Amino acid sequence: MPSETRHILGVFEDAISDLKSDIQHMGNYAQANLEHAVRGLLERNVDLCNRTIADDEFVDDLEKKIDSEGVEIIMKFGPVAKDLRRVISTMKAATAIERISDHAVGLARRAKQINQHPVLPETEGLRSIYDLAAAMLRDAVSSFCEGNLQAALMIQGRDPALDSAYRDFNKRITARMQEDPANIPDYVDLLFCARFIERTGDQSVNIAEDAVYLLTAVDIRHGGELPAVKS
Amino acid sequence: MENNLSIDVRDYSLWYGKFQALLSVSAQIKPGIITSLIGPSGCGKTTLLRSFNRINERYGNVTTTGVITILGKNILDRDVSLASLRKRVGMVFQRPNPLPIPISENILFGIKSHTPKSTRQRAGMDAAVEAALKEVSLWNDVKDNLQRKATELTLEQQQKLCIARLLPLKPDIILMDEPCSALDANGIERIEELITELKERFTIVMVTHNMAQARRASDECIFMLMGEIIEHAPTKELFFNPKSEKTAMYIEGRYG
Repeated sequence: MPSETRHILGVFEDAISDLKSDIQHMGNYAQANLEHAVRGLLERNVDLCNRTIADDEFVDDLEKKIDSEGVEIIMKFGPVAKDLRRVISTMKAATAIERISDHAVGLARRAKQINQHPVLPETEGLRSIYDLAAAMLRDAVSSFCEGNLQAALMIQGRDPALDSAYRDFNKRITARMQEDPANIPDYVDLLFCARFIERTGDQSVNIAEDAVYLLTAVDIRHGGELPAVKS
Repeated sequence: MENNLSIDVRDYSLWYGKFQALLSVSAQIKPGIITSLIGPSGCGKTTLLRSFNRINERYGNVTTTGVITILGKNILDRDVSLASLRKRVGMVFQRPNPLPIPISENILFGIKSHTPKSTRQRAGMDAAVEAALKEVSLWNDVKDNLQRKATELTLEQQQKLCIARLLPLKPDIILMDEPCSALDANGIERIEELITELKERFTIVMVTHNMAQARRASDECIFMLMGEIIEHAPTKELFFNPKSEKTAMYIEGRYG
């Protein structure tokens, strides 16, 4: 992590450091929630599903805390340059992370439904989609929290692989629906689960874009030009 | 009276001759935090601040009504000793005003005025000088030449010294009248940092014209206008969601 010189005002330094640790905690919780939801489905574990739903509250609370801290820093200190970008981008990343945790909750709820019925072998297909999404999320959060520009710039390019894994799964399930109409309700739930996981990839891209904005002041969203990276 | 208040002002009015500068103001100021008095020039904030150690009365034509209770005692009572009041309620001024005598003597001046000669001891005095200067992070800058004239220090150092010389008297309250207005940006932030470190042990009341400073450095703010207190709230609330339209107009810069 690149070292930054301390601000003269200790209280400002403390406020920024609270913001940094809160976004890190939030990222950790969201990753855990997504993992628990997916395991709840693949391992048919209702406890993990319920835990995901309950733990979402921590993420919600942290989102509100980060927004409140951000507003307070802007109000009290009128930060500029990287300090200003840090406050703005942290508040935005918090919104993205909160959505990821919501997707985990959506997945956990569907998983509870699916788990009440006999196991469908196609469920296993979600594992590889999750592996891609979880790695993107992990790297997006760490690039943001550790200020790793190289890693942040890689995330956008990893999303198409996840999208394509999602589309393949979609096709497979749609085909299975025709062959096995009796289980259509469970297949529909599985499609939703896949969709939830795929959406976390989009939010990971957002977090990485926020990281790039924080580190370079360049807006790479929606095809924006990438900043030059000093090697 | 509410407990745990440092300064309790009730229906306090003040006139300079025939001009009424404060119109029946009431305020409850808590210990251990920094309270800023803000408002446009002439709103009465400095007058209110100066009332807390009755330094206004030097002007001679001042009359007051109402009650100001500090540590359980109405300081406007006739039997109040101004010397002991000002020992408990110290003041730092806009422009640093050290005496043109050695640094150490500036610190000792207050102690000497408030303790009888027979009870003073040289070693205790040296320790008091060192402790006071350390508390304001000035010791390392000046320890090698404590005999240097205080007026030769930089403005920031002078202002730190002015704060340091209050500390041996163990005041309960420190009043600050625009303590940073003579300083540059770095000096301002260092003094603010110092004030923040001191606040847990003292009640600090500060007049400031600088909105950014009030936002950064204070826990509560009192907004005054034309001799009245319009709003008194935690700083975050006052600047984020002011209750009074007048406060909103002033802090948004549409007024004053």
